[in-house]
Amino acid sequence: MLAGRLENVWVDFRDQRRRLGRRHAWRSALREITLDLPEGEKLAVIGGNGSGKTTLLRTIAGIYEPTRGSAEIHGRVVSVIEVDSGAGRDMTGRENLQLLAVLFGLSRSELRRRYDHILSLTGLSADDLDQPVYTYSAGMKLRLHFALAVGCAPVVLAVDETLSVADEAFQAHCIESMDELSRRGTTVVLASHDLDLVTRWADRTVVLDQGRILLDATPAEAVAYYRDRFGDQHAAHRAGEAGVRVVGFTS
Amino acid sequence: MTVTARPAVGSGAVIGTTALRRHLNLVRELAITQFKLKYTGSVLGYLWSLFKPMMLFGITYAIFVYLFNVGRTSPHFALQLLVAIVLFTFFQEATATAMSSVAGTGHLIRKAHFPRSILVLASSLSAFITFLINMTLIIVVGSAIGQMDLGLRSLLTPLFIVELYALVLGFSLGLSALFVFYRDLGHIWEIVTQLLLYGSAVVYPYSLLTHGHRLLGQIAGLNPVAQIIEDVRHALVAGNLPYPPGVNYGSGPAVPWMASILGAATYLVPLSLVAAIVALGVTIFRRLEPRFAENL
Repeated sequence: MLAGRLENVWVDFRDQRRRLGRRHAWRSALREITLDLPEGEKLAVIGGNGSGKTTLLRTIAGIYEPTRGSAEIHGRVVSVIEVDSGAGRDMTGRENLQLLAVLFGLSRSELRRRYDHILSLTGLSADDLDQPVYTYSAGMKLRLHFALAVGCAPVVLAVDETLSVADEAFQAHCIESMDELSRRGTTVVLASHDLDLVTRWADRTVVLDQGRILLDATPAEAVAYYRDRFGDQHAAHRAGEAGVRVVGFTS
Repeated sequence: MTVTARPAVGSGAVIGTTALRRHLNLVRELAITQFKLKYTGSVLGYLWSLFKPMMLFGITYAIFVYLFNVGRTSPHFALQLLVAIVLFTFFQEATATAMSSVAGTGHLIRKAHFPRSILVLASSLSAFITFLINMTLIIVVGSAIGQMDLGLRSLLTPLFIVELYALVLGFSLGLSALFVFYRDLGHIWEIVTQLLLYGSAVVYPYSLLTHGHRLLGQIAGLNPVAQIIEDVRHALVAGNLPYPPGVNYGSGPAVPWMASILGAATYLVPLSLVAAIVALGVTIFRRLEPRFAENL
């Protein structure tokens, strides 16, 4: 059974450069994307910066509408893409949870039923939950958002490279939660630069470059292909993440 | 190549009961949140929403009554002025706040799929809550001092308030969508609302507008803001039947049956304008909505 399907999807963005007296140009952030999302599958998306990973996740989540083609998801989609401000930085953790839950499509009765469970998933203390979100660290915001995403029991969960801000224990908890969701039938789509995690975790992996799917294969095949084709870029990215200045590569 | 609207999560032409309930739930949550957040970090909180129109009222009353000697002859001028200021403040604040309701909530738009018009609706409803509280206070105080006429005529007031809300919503939809792409609009709208404040007989009696400039008064009466404010004043305060716009409110029509014909005709213009503004606002919003997320 498919949880959703993207068929021949193009997402075009307007070129933001102001050119007086001339029509705006358009650039394609996603091109000819056809992707099945089977129920319960763990799908990883890998690609360099600007390859279209986040755009693909946002298209799956319905945040971007396809310019051409069709994107259909048969149920609730929850995304963990941008966790910086929650629903409002001046609102408390509890208020954020409540508004985000409604935003993700939970009815009032559903929210009442799952509220305590979601609160426990955050791992935050009652004191923390009563503080405004602007006092939270990036990791605490992620905890809040991720707990809600899991607690909503979505049909599709789209997770961007946000897990990197969490501590090791919570990262492991997130992976476990995604596995549990997948076992219950949720399709989990994870965009990541962590190729070891992708190889270990995913059932299937797509490689994106310049908005196109270059390869849709098993994680081992996809990672090998990606390393072979983009190895230098990837090493530079990982080194940058680790705070290392890359001065050159030798083969 | 086919282009398909995304039907799965509630948007689109056909909205099921579940999706509708979800949307209403979201409108309610957002409206309450915005109402609460508006006063977060403020010592006086909600009282500012009462103080601001009261201060504008005090200044305007002093200038017109003591400096220009306007409205001294009418015992009801103070209350008429207050009612007009509260109505206009709602129009001004609701449209100004709603204008940034989409551009200022990029963090929500980038998180989930939902009809973006909900943001505008919630913003205008939040302003509407403040307006209803203020209006209730005025009615209570006005009745206590014996200047409010709460007879049958006052039952027309909700109709004019619905008309005002429709006008606010029409402007809000169009402005909020355009503001995502053209931030100049904020400055332009400030000037337009100033023009409306002085062109709609908000801070002075309507009779002053028509006095000596009957044509000007009639043209000004075609403006829905002027019509709504004047009609609410007449329905609630002065105790006269709400005369049609464009007819001299100050002394009443000389030939009543002619006033009826004129009235019916001249009511059509402001009502048609409200309908046109709502239609235009919806059209602009629907056209630009798919491009919001990439621009925020």
